[in-house]
Amino acid sequence: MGAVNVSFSVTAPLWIGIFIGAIIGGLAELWGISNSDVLLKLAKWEDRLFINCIAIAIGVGAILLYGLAALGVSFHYGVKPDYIVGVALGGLIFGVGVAVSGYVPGTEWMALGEGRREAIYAVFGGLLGAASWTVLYQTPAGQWLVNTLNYGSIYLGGKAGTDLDAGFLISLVWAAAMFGVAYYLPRYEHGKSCIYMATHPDYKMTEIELTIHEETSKMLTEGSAMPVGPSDHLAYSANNHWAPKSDLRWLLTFVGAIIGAVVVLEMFLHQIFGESTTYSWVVGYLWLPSYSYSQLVFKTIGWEPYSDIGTLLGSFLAAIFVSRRFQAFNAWIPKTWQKRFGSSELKRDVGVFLGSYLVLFGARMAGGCASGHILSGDLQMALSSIEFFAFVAFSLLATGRLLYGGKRSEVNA
Amino acid sequence: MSQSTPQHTRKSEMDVKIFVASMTILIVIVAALTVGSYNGYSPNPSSVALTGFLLLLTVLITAVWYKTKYPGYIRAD
Repeated sequence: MGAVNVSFSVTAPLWIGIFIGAIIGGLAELWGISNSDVLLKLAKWEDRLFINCIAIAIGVGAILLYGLAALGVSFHYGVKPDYIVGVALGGLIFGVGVAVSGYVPGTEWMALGEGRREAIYAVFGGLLGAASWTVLYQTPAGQWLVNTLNYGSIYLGGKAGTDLDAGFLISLVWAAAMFGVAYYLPRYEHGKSCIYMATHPDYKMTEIELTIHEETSKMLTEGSAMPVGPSDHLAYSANNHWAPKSDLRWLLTFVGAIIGAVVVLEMFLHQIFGESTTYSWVVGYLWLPSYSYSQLVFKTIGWEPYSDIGTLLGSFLAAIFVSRRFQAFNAWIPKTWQKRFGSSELKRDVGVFLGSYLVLFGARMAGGCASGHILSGDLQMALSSIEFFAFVAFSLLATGRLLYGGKRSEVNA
Repeated sequence: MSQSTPQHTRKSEMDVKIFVASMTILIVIVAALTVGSYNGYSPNPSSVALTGFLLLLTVLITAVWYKTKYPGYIRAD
């Protein structure tokens, strides 16, 4: 492929990260993943919205990234090194943590913006998890994890940032696979995917599907401190966005595409989208400044603290101005957790704290989280991120089955 | 999704929304002024702390506002 030598490069000021984070945080809030029950239901393989949306983001982002790169546009790549053992173990720990807490590092900030009380415990658990990895990193065990079978920063086309024409061709196949997953994997069993719903406005949902959709709408809004009046059409549409006739079905179905494009924009402006490094950065400044991992983070973090602030801000604005899901720190326990562990708020808070501890410990061990690895990394077709995603998926679903008993039985009965 | 109950009729929220919008602008301005045009790595911790503090304060004040405006309301549907 003949490349046009555009050689166009930009590095934006750090505070611009607030806008990038706000776009992603706001859209993801509307999408609903700041609600921990969405990821708990994913752990039960009951609600696959996250997979639907992230597959679109990866597909759209990969084509955009490698298409523009092949044309000569410069990007700030962030392919994580693939140290096989550490990434695998980190992914397994991360998946267990998500299945327990219902959060990934980015959704913790979003949940805080939505005024969810349990998010406070999630953030503190996450900080402790990041601190634990900072302490472990410089020990022989930590060094063994990050140095054993370390193949460096590689993607499906070879060494990161090289052979971009081949990278573009591979990205077409990669994106086709992702779009296939997004189109054919139904959000719920007995149903259709969100893309199918958006492109088939005359589709009539089955009775089981209607019941599950109604439950999901309730799940998204319960605990809110904001009453909904007859004139709040936007909130109504946002909370039923997967319905075939929703006014927002196109926007919210293709939130994934927008997020994928924003991540590519972010890589053009400064760096990849990541959410977990901020935890290590905070821990490093507050408690462990002399540790070698803190020193490493200080040198490489970039605008992540600002994009994390933006994530919280975007979610907050979306909850107040659009979805009306702001909880004002009301007491609330996700139904999936409640069915298994009861309605003790203390028990849930301990669960969120411990789960989030594992999430951040695993993320820092693997070098990234749902944002840095699964979104930005898989979008770059990084081998480390593909490995991370595989181990997280296995661990999340296995833990979900053990803890919550797998898919819903009441509907199937 | 059910609508609000008669006991919790939707009230005007113009004042809190103006507050949130104003604080959002302030937060972005504070971040831009305190970090400046720096575009490298390792951001200024004071700038991040100040920006984050203003945002958390805004979220907290908004929460208190809603608790006061709709006392006892928790959507349970």
